[in-house]
Amino acid sequence: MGNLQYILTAIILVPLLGMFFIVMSKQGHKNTHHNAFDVAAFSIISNIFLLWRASCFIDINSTQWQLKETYSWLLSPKIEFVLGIDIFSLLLILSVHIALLMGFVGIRGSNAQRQKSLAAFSMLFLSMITGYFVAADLFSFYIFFAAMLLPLFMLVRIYGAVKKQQVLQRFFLYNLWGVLLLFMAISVLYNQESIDIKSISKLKLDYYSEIFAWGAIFLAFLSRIPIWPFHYWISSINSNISNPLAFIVANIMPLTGVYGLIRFSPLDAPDVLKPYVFVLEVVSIISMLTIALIAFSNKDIKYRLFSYMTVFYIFYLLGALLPTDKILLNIGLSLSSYIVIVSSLEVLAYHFESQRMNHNVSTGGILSYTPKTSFVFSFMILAAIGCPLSSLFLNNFTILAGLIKFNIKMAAFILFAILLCSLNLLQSLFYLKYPSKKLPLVDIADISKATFAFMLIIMLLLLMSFVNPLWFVG
Amino acid sequence: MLAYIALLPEFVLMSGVLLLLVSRLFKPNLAPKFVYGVCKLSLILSAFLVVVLYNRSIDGYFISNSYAVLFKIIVYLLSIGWSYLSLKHFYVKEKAAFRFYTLMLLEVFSLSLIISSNNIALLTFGLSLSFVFGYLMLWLDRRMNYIYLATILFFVLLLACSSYTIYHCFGVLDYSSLKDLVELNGNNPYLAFSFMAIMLSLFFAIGLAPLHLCFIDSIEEADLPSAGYINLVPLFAYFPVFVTLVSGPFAGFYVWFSALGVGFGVISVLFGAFGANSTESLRKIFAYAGLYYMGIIMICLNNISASSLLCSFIYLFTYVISMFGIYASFYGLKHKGEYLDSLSQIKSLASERPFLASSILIFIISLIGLPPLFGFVGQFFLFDHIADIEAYKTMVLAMLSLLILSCGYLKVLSSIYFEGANNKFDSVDRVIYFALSLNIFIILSLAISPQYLISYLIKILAGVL
Repeated sequence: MGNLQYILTAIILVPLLGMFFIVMSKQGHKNTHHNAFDVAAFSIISNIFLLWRASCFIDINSTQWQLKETYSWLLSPKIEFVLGIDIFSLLLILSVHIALLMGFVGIRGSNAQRQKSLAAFSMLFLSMITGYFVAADLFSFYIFFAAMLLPLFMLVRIYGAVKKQQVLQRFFLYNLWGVLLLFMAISVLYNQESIDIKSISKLKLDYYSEIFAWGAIFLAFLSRIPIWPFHYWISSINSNISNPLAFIVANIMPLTGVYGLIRFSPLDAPDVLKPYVFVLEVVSIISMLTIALIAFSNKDIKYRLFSYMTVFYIFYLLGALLPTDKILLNIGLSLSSYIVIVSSLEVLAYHFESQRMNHNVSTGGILSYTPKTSFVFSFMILAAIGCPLSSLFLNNFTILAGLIKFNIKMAAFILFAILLCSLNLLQSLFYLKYPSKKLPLVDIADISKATFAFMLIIMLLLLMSFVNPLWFVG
Repeated sequence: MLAYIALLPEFVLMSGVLLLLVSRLFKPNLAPKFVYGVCKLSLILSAFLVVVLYNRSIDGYFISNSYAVLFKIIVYLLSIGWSYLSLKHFYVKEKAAFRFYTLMLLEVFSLSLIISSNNIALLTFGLSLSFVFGYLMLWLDRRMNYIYLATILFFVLLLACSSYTIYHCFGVLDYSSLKDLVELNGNNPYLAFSFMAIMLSLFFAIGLAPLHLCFIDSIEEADLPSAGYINLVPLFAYFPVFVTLVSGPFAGFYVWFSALGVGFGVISVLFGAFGANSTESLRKIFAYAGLYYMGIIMICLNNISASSLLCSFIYLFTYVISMFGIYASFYGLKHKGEYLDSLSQIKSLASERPFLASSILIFIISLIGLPPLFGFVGQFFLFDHIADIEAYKTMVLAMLSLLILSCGYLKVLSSIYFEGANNKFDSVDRVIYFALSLNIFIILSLAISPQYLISYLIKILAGVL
């Protein structure tokens, strides 16, 4: 394993290198935006290759950090950056890479403004979120948690079409607040040496420090998940983002909240917080139901996609809050497919939405003009609702079983919200595929052959994940 | 007699002033480059002598230990850097560089006296000179501000009274004798009065609320070289002096005074955070931000310990380095030769001058304390200390205020990046780009490897305690 010594550092640095090349490319050249996207895609593919290489040496059954790398930052106080990976973070990193690659493929042919900035900030975000998933100590965890805020903010502001200053301010402040809360918690937990984030729960603190630290940790991660009262920023932003890559990036942010809560293991949270966890569960379920019901009355596919994402993020959050850690890997496997499916749906929705606007037609039956898009879209919708087409099927079933075992009433509400979301998506699919009246003769472009080929590969990967989610490991 | 060689650096500075005055006599319109050259030479030579004459002292008056040398060198380096950046202002504006550079040399002279003073009379004299020269510097190119002048005179008189009171009542002025005096006469009202007078003067000098009002308005109205200099450089003289006094001769008084200091700190934090959101002027926004940072440092110094000193100094470093970058960026914000100061004037800067806009973004991120920039290092040390002493209410106050302050920064970033307008900007000089690049390099490299700076500071501060 000698040649894998700095592989995790390399995985973080490759997107940064890509960003550097994108920034250095000449402005104003007619192929600038294609160059930017091609560099970005190449960086992502290189990183996927590195990830596959790393995965060959990962022990699926081990719960410890693997391929550990340690960098000394300060001697007094002693602070080290520790990077490590396990199967859970590997899955998430891979899915985020594929999601962003999907986004780049989806917008490559478009005439988006400021595409160099888009590509550069996306690469910066990818680097930071990769670092977040491989951070093994408290310090580096916080650094990446905070550092991904800047590229996200820039992407949302440039491509969010957010007209109201207050919406943007709220978006920034909510996320900054979460960063500062986590910083406060780390200041309390930090005891003159680096702390492995898997050992946080073993620290002995006095009563007030414990409440302060754990309360701040929970609030910091919850600020990124769209549950009340933190939902406002993401729903405001999502209603305005039209660029699929920016949409994908913005909607990967809640994943960081769920991941953070899983890593800090709410299983070991102090007893004094347990009543608040119950309140959180109730609020989460109410949020799920509310958003699913609103989506039921809103025919816009983008809003229904957003509601689907929200409901499932909360579903995974509730799974993570169960008093067992046996389903954490199931959550990871399900999340990885979920991210890929949602990204694909967003790219396809962007395609036919742009076609609709170009030809000034309704979305009803638009998929009937575009067989390739229709095929892929149908597959993704069916996979999204839990059909046996991806690892979502079995793993969601396992998570739901765990929820039923823990609290059947709560599980019933969750199941209802999930079913409602699934119905919403199926209804949208039906509406998009089958026109209610005779369609006008318009030349609506299908997705390109290259995009279709890429989508087929993704579909194949999803099918393989259904058969064996960890086929690439070992 | 040989001991007076310790004053050689200060002598060189005064020689530079004298040379400029004599040159002015013979030639009224001195070229900016010549004036800058004399200033630069004086500063460099003086800095060299400070290092060479390390550990030379005049007993009871003047000290030149590692602590004093460190901060004198920082003052000199910042002055050299700022004078270099300001030269372009005088080329373009065709203003007399003579007054600015002469007053800068005089200000550095007074700051140098303050840092090295081991005597209350010398300290009060140096502080008074610093106030007067600072006022004269800010007074350039605008109508005289009577309130500010009256405030300066008030503090000068207060300082004079304090040192006279000590000398008249006790006959001693040097720090070591004063320390013994305070230990023996802890309840003496004259000593307490003198101590309060000096502390209030230092708080005014640092710019803590509620003594900040004249300072903020003056920063906005003065020309850029003066405003930037007064906002950045003197802090590295006033703050170490404050630490020397409260950990040395007046340590006994600081036990009860610290609560007042914390009160000033809290007010500064709140004024700074809300004030930054109340104005459209760039300089005022960052001047108010400075209030916040100074307030946080003052709260941190509630109790003087190695940990609190270390974290406050690191925080001060991170603040000044980032703010230096901000003010350097201001030199690049010009339209038809006029410096831009309002938020509406800098709209669409990112599309016209992307490097300048990115620099401002980096410096603001560093000021907020987000990783992976150097500002995070300072913030980490500070809040780690606050967590160590379990001052959770302070932590919450600091964080909430930072959140409010960030709204002010967000206004700046929104104007630069996201608000479209047809603003045009003059081309930015290469010197400015070089200064910005160097600053960014320092911020990034200190963030990656802060160990050397911190171990050096630990060694220096060990001497203070």
